Amino acid sequence: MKAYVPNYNLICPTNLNQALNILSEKKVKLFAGGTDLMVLFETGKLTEGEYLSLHAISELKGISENNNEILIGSLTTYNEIKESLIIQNNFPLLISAAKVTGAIAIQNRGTIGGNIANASPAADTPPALLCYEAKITVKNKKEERKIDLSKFYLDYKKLDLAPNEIITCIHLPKKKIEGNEYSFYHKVGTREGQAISKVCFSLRVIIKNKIINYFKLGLGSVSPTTILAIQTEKLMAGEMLTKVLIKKAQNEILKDISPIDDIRSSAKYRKKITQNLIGHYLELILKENSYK
Amino acid sequence: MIQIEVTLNSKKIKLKGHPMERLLDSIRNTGAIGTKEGCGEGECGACSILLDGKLVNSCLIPLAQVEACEIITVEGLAEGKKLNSLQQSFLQCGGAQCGICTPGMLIASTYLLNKFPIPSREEIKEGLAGNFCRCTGHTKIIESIENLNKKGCHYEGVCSKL
Repeated sequence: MKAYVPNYNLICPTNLNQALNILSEKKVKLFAGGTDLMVLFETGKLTEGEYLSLHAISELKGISENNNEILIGSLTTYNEIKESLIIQNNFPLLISAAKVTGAIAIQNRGTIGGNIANASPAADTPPALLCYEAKITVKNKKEERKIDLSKFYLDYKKLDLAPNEIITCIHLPKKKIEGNEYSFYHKVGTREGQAISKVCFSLRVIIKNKIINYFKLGLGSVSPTTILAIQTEKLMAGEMLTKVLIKKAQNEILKDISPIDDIRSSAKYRKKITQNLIGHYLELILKENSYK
Repeated sequence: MIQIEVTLNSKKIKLKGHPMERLLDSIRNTGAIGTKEGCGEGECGACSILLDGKLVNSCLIPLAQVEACEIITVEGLAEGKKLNSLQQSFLQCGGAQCGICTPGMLIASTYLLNKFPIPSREEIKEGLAGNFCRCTGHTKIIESIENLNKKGCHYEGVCSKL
């Protein structure tokens, strides 16, 4: 233990109002499942001060639905997501993402809200959530607002989240788009369990009459935040999927990403592998559609 | 300092400590030193415990978050001095060598068997993906669990809250 423990505190409110009140009165930082923060704590890298545990707040847990969307409480764990039938039936990319995050012990404790708020560029669930046009609700004592997840990340570890706000809910729209839906989630890492990604790739494409009716590509570990590949999306949407277009997409993707060399991989490798993944999965879709 | 009540291996006890103290340390400080520290950052699984029936890394959980929880550690598996069938199977198959990963392996296997009483090899691999062994190798550990299936052994789960 490298941290000097007396310089920390952890308060555990049992409902959301209590938490929002504390947050409006004093300077505390949020603490959810702890699977990221306790690692920093152990290594002496966690900012000293007072933390607010959200773990005992049951209002923030669980999955529900209304007419237009599926609602995931921010304190819902990866394991609860994996086991949810609503998610399994409608949002397979999110299931894949939850399965490859850490291993089972992490999935039982880590939360989806924590994964979003920790703002790691290598986070596993945001690339999947971005493909479903997820929105999030953030609350402070007085008001709440609902924002697109794609606009929530401002820069490396910078969020559109005030110090007195809590992410309370993740919304996944039930929007139906006509056509055949294809989705692929691929995490490139050193091993299947526990690894942090070198590249995290989440692709959702809907094809109608050989035309790309919908295209979202969520990526992790290739830029300062998790991102949607907007330039590539512009190139692809409304076009007919062909070998030539796939080649163009493989070049266009370089405009969307800005990977770096770090302990896990190199910028060069990350660029190449992202291009290869796009090529590989789009060709699978092309093959599927060329016989019809 | 805080004082909370938990159930540790079926006994109600009080744990006293700093709110951020790692549950791993709180447990070991009671004298139950079966749970080990490996990496201290949730990678290796040596500190695995069952918390309200769920497999977790006790090195990543602060004491303040476990008020009124049920904890099961490796000490909670045997009945008195009689090893349970899973532990016996580890002995028979050479699933333990130096012993540091073994308590975590047993706890992760217990969680696995509670969910899948007759797990496939793939399910075993996924169930133990967060537990690292650095000496005997994972094959014998996997075989220790498969051995339970072969014997048609009935495995009884240990956690009441599942």
